[in-house]
Amino acid sequence: MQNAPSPEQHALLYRKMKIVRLLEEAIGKLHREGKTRGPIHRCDGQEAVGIGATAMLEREDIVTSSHRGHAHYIGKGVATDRLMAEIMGRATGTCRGRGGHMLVADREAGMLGGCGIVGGALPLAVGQALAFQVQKKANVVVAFYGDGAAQIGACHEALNVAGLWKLPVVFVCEHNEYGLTVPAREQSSVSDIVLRAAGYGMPGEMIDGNDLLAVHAATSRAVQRARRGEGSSLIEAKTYRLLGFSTSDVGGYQPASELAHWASRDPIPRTRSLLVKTMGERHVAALDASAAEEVDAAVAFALASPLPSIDELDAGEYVQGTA
Amino acid sequence: MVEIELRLTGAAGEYMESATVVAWLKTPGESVREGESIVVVETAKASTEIAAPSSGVLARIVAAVGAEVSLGGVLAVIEGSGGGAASIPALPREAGASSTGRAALPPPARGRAGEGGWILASPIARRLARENTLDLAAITGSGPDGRIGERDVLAALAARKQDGRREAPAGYRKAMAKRMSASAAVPQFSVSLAVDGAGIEALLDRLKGGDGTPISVNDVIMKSVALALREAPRFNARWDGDAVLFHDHINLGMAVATEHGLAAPVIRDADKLSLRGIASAGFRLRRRTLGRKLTPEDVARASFTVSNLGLLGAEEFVALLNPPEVGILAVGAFTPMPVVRDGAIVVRRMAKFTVTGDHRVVDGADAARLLTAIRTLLENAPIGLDADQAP
Amino acid sequence: MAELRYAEALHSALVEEMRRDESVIVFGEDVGSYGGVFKVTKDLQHEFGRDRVRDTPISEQIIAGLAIGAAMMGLKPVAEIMYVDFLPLCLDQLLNQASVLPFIWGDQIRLPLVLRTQGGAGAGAGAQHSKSLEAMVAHIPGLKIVMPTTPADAKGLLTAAIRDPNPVVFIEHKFLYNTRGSVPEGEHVVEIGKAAIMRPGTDVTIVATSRMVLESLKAAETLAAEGIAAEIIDVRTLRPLDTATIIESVQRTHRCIVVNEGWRFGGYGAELAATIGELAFGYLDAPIARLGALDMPVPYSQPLELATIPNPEKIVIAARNLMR
Repeated sequence: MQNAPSPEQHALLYRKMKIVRLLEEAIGKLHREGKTRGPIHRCDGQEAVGIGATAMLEREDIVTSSHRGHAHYIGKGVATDRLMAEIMGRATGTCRGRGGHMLVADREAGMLGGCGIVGGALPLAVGQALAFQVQKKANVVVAFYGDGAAQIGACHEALNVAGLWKLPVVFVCEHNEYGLTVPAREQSSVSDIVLRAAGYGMPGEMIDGNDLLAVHAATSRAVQRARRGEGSSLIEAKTYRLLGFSTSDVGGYQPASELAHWASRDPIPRTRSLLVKTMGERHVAALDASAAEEVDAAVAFALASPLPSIDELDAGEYVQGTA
Repeated sequence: MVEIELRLTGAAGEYMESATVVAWLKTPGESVREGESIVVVETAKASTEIAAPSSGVLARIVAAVGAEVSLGGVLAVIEGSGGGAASIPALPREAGASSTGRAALPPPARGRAGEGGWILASPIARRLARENTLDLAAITGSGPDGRIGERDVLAALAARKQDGRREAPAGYRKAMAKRMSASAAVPQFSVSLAVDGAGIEALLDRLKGGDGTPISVNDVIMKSVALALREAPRFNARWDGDAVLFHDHINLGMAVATEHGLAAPVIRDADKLSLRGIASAGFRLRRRTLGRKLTPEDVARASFTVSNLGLLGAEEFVALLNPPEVGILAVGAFTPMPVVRDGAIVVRRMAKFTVTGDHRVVDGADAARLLTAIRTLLENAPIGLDADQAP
Repeated sequence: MAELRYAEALHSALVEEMRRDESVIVFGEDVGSYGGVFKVTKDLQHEFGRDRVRDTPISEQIIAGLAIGAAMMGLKPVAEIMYVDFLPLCLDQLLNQASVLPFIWGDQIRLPLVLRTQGGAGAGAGAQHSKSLEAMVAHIPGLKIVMPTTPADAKGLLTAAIRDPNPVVFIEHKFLYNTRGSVPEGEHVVEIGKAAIMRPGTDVTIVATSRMVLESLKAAETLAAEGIAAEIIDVRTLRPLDTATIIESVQRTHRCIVVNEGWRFGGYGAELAATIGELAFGYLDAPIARLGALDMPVPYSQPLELATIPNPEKIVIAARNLMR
């Protein structure tokens, strides 16, 4: 893909965003029915960042994610049904049910991977990029993190060494205004994380994270820089999560006016209107239906899949043989 | 024994700096229970009772009546009943130990804690003792706190080895050893008389050739003992500690010698069986005994035992009781010997029958009466000892 | 065979493996142009270049993260954490990534990385530069924990660690770097997961780690003169533990002392003692003695510092106590 998707690619990206949204809603429903385990971190409202920033990547490029990674997973090509199965702890999941939604990985798709420690994947991302650099490959790592993670020590160490060694990493900060229940203005010494890019010796760009095409364009530029050996970039994508931090969030800290403001800038209706203009309602409705079908099939697949056997726990602790 | 100081604590109620002892509710030597009030003290404001912090014996009073004691001062010493605790070794500080997070440990109990108490021995010492059936209680430990170690067990083993071949009891002999140890505690006496075997011979002659299991001398003896016991219920009983319990059935134990020791399978309701019945029961039980196939049911609940060593040649012997039975009959071999009949010396086959009795239940007269009854039945054998008829 | 210092033996393993396998890279603080504060990585950058041998910023989290990320993508990183006292700075990466990801992601990834570090008290380096933290990392599933004592084992075990497909935390000792020993020339591999009997004996088994092995060997000399034959076992791999060698020894001697330089309470010696108690119960003629550091930070002044760690005298006293 170039810096902008073709109309066909645009439509497919919309469809992916729709899949993510429908997946999150399906998870919400299952949670209310008591069929899910543990807190699950939905990304409703942030789909454009995850889908837009992964659209142009090759299979062999790597994406590291966070605890709120469903859009990253779908964007990078993890199969919807295997993702859903993993979220439901099934043996058919991407990690055989061992990881859950925060630790999804799919080597084939280049998703390595989800991470439940805030900012914990950033050191891994720079390590992966180091390998590409030493192996003289033109591949890149896209590392997603949030405005909360922007304050953790690992993030600063990672960005410093990435800027220093000109590692092929694109840091995508999904600024969704909250670190758990506390607003960014009470966590960050600067309201725009992009200001720190200069502090780490790399170019930075701040964009509307709910504008799919803007995300796509900025990330494409950064990816090409990295492939050319020019080093890292930091993209700050302003966005918002329309729901709580997880399914166990009792809410009450997101003001109604704020929610309403961001709901009106929901990336999915925005992208939909654009597409309707270019290809017509019928076409777009067909995309909606297709997405719904895929999500329904994924949910059915997950619920029908078996749970893993406890015999699996008898496998030895270590990998045998030599590296 | 653990010494515990009873101190004047602030727990006696209000803030106070000292108190005066008003009265002791216990005297030295008296036992005290944890939580039981044992002394009354008085402050400027009120009287309070102080309770024992743990159970034991009031060893000595330190603060007598009238004495003023400061807060924290000692009132008395209680000897706690904490004996028998396992020894917990204190760690040597020079070995790099520290006391992080460890509360004060109870002092180690030295060596053995007395009968039924815990014996201090290392794991390997226990294992060696168990494998060699050595009693740890018989071994002195040379380790710390009198702990029995490997070397102590090995020394005991070496000492024992000097005595010759060793055999651990097994099977019938193991049960016998256990029973006879119990028997030693029972006060036993014995009475003998000689029985003429002519009547038995005549009976067996008459019954020869009949159908069924062949009848032996021992079967006739068993039958007559069973019948005699009907008139001697005291011998068909047991002692339960403070009363005599009379059995409802006459179950005769029959001693059988095997190469693995003596067993005593039981013929149940022997008085109700015919001679033939006794013979076949005896035959079956003897076979099972020799084949080592006796079940617990076969040897249970004998009320009286008959031990016939006559077949092995013994002339006379005293059998020991099988507790909880109160009687046992020892039968010697029928040997030709001169006896006096109607003033003349004749040769008859005579056997010595000896009854041993539990003197808490039966006496010499009972024993003599039983023997006479048995003799009467055997010497006048044809009366009431039909082969196939149960009486 | 060559007579090498422990540091030189480590160096020789690195050089040989880096020549043999171009996916082996080295990084850490001061390891590049300076050659490492203990000179273990001397001249490596000169031979293998700045791509494969890198000085990192003072960023322990990233040193560990770089190793894990790079290992995931096919390199064999040998990263250095200068003092084990700094290891907790990257504990999250070890605990929540290196241990977790192979278990969760299964065959999708391999983490053939080595994290080298060193610890130990007695050098007057102060409370924040003198610890022994093997218990902390030995607790973590999925990691292998190796502590070589001799120069030969340093080379053999480092070679094995580099070739191992699992993450290995390789803990050296600041007092061992200058010790000398015979080291095989050329390829030398010592199997990870095997303890070694350093001195045979019949009366008491002393199981020790790292420098404490040398202290135990000194104690064994003193004990021999008193008629007590101590068998000294060098654990070498703390996880996975070679219980077979240790238990077989205790089955013969019936007495055991474990000596580890970490703090005594909740230390590595506790795991050894519990394991021996479980597996050799019926063979013990005395309680298992456990020597570790006093449960306090390492003080600076020499008499204080030396009093906090086990030494041959304390080992001898412990052995005498067991023989009573």
